[in-house]
Amino acid sequence: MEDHFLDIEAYLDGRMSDAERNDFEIQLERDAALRTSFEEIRQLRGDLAWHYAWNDVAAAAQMRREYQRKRWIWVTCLLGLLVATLAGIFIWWNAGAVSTSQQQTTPLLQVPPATNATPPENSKSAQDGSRHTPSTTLKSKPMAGNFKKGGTPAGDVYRDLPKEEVSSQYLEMFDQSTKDFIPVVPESGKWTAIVHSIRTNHPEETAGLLKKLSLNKTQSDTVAYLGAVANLLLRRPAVAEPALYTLLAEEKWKTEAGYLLIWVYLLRGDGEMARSALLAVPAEYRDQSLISKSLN
Amino acid sequence: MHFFRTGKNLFAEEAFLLNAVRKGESKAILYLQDKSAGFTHKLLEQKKLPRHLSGEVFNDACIILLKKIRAPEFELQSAKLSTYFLEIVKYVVLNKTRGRQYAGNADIDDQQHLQDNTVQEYFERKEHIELIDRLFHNIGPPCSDIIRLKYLDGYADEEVVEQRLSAYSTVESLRVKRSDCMKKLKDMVKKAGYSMPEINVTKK
Repeated sequence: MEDHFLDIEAYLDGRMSDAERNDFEIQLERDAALRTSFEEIRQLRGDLAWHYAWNDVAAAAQMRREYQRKRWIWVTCLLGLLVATLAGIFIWWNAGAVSTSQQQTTPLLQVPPATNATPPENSKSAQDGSRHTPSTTLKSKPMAGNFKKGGTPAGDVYRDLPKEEVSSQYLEMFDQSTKDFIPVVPESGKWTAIVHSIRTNHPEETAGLLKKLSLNKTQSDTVAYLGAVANLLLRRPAVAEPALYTLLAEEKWKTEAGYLLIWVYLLRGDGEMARSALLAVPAEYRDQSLISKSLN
Repeated sequence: MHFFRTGKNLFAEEAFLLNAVRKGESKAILYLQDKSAGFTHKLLEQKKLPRHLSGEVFNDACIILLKKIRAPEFELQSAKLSTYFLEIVKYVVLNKTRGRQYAGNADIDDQQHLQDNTVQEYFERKEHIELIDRLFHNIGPPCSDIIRLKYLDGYADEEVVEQRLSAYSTVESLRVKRSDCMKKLKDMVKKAGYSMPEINVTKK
């Protein structure tokens, strides 16, 4: 093979002289074994050429597959990033809304005891209801009982609301304190009948009267306050609570709302929260001392 | 699927593209494939062949192209390599239609551009080429290197020795080693159960 191979290779490569080539061709015609070797080597050389071409194309195909795979990974990553970003924005957006509402609730527990013991009805600004800062929360958070809806006054307040369980522990104290409850809104003008109904302990009537009011924006805080009082008298602390939190953010209503929140917590039987809420109300304000004593 | 169209500027020069494809550069091969993708898809559609065959067509056409342009006697008669490649693609597609007993095979006889039977040879010997490919991967160095230097890279034995591209210091020792390697490869082919084609002596 070796001898043949070298000659055959030299012949196929064209490295032979004319004389050598002639001799080789004569030998090729005569020698069958040489002919076989010659054909095999020629064939093998051809196959090698195919092999290298095959290999290079396979490498190119591999490169394309790699490229496609990388592109797929990139697209997946980008899509994942996009989804994560959107999810992040969504969560952040919702968290922002939650923290805003929490910001409205936290002052009750964190603020030092209020120094302003004067209830709103005695302050100058309280006497002028039209100077209240408009509160828009009333629209998004309708008061319990939905005063805008029809039906009997009592029915409006109770509509679709389950009966609330109140704490028997503080109920007697609550009834005693609210027997002659005087709302901070003066009994005059359009509030006369409403305040009177509260004073005489007819909260269902209060709800009906509030429903009939034609409101402007500046009066919505007062309505929210009176509605909360009515709900408390109806022993609906959970219904009254959101309106009181809203009012707590208003400087004018802060003390009174804080005071009413104490009752909200007491009706729920939550003494701890009531103690915290007590800190936000001046010592001499309404029944603060009485409640404080009772709790301690 | 046109990933390598970005090589448009890189392979704009015909001679550069030809050289790169001849060297077997993957990017150049893929560029050529992508460039002819539109034509190939249309042709497959025309011949009522499934579109997914395009990958196989490209690979077959590229193997044939590489084999042809690496032949010493190759001369690019048409102006562009891509045009030449499209001619091969046509042949390959027509071969596929014949494989699927498609009636419109008369076209294949009309093709006068490719003057030899390379396409036919490829399809006839495809199985054997696959076998060689597997065996050659098994042969390992130094045989694979020595054979490659001559039959792919085109180095003369003198250049291999001078540039010390292999461990052999003389031309004779290099040739003897290559002779052994070729014998080894031939034996492996025989052992794999593949019989060489019938002997048909043709003088060069």
